[in-house]
Amino acid sequence: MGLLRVTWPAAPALYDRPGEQADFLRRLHIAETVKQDMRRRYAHATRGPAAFDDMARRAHDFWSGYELVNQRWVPEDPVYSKAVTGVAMSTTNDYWELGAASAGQLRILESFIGGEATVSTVARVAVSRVTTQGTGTAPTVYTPEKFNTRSAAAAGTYYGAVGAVVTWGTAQAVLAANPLIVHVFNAFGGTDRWVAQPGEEVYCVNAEFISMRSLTGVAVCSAMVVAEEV
Amino acid sequence: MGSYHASVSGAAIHPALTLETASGQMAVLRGAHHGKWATTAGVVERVFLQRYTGGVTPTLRTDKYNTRSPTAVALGRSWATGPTASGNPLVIIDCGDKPTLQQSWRPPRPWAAIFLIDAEMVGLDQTSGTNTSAIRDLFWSEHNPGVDDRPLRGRRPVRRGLYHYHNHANVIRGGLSANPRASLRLNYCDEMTHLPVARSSPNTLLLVPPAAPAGTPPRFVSQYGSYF
Repeated sequence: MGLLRVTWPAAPALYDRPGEQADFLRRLHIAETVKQDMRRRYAHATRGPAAFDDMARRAHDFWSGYELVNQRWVPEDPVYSKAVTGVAMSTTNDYWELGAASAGQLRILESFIGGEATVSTVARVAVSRVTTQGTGTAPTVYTPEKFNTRSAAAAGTYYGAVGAVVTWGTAQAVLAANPLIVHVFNAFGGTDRWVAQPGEEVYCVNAEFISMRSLTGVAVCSAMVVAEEV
Repeated sequence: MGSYHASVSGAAIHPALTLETASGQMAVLRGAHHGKWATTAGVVERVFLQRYTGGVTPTLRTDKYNTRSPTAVALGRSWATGPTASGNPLVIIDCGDKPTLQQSWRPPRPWAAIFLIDAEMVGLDQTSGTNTSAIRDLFWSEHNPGVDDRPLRGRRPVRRGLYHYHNHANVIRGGLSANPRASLRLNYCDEMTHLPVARSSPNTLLLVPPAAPAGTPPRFVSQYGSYF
């Protein structure tokens, strides 16, 4: 971003609130000030004509810096979870399916699945992007649990009841050939938990969907996914 | 602000361990369930965290991780009558055959902790059985603005930034957005398309890419996978 000559606007009066609330407002104020300056510079830099490569590079730099400011100063976004409990896996139906709003995005922070079989059973489960959405009657829409009850209602769509696989009326979703994450475990007590390292989050953007589906094995399992709507 | 821990062994009621606030805020930072079964195979159980309401006055059970922390607001362990589950599980800590239940859960991000605000309750529960041979742990931090938020020994609180303030963002931005970051994202033109930023939902943060004509070079997506 380089050095910024920022004209700092007056701090909001709410700054005198105690504790972390004041801390949050302070960070919000800093982020807003820096981003306003970034927008001014960007607008100024893009007045004249430019080659495509220059525009692409400039846009890359700008949006990367913009995201960096967001992540550094106001990283908090609402977090939700979707659970499936005690349900037999399927190699044709998704275990869960979730996607971003038509104009929004979410990212997966954690995916957990564990077997509840009573005999040794191989389970190989993939988390994959949906390339073609299912058709026919839509599956049960799940209301995700908020990690903070003060968060807004989730903007994304979370398909599948807590006690059933995702079932589209006519045809099930088509998944990408290569999975993003593979959980492999013995369903006789085995579990697998994937937690994204910072920067490793799986994103869904503008109505993109991601789902979990068994590649091998249909044992009874339980799973949950933690998503942050950003 | 302090960090606290509670454990219970051999609880024979659902949920085995609850955590609740009378007022103020707390963040659940760890939940663990450690079975002690040696031979009982073929019995499936599932351990999870879920919100609860009601219940009887619990027995307080609290250990400070730092003896200089303020007194904890509350930790409940319900023995007489269990509270009522609300909604679906927030987090599945572990599941499977009884002898294998040995896991714990921690928030994947500081702001992805489970927050309890003003009389909300979370319980560490199991699907069935009395599970008298298990140890459950909950670890949490408390935050009560204006009461115990003064840093100890002149230091700043360790866990600054744990709490997200969607409700406060609403106040600041006149209720336009429940998301503090969304409220910061002003309408702006994308250099590549000269189209305005879409703001059709509270959580909208993105430029909506138009349908590209055939032969158009692929649009840029930042290293973070999004436009913002």
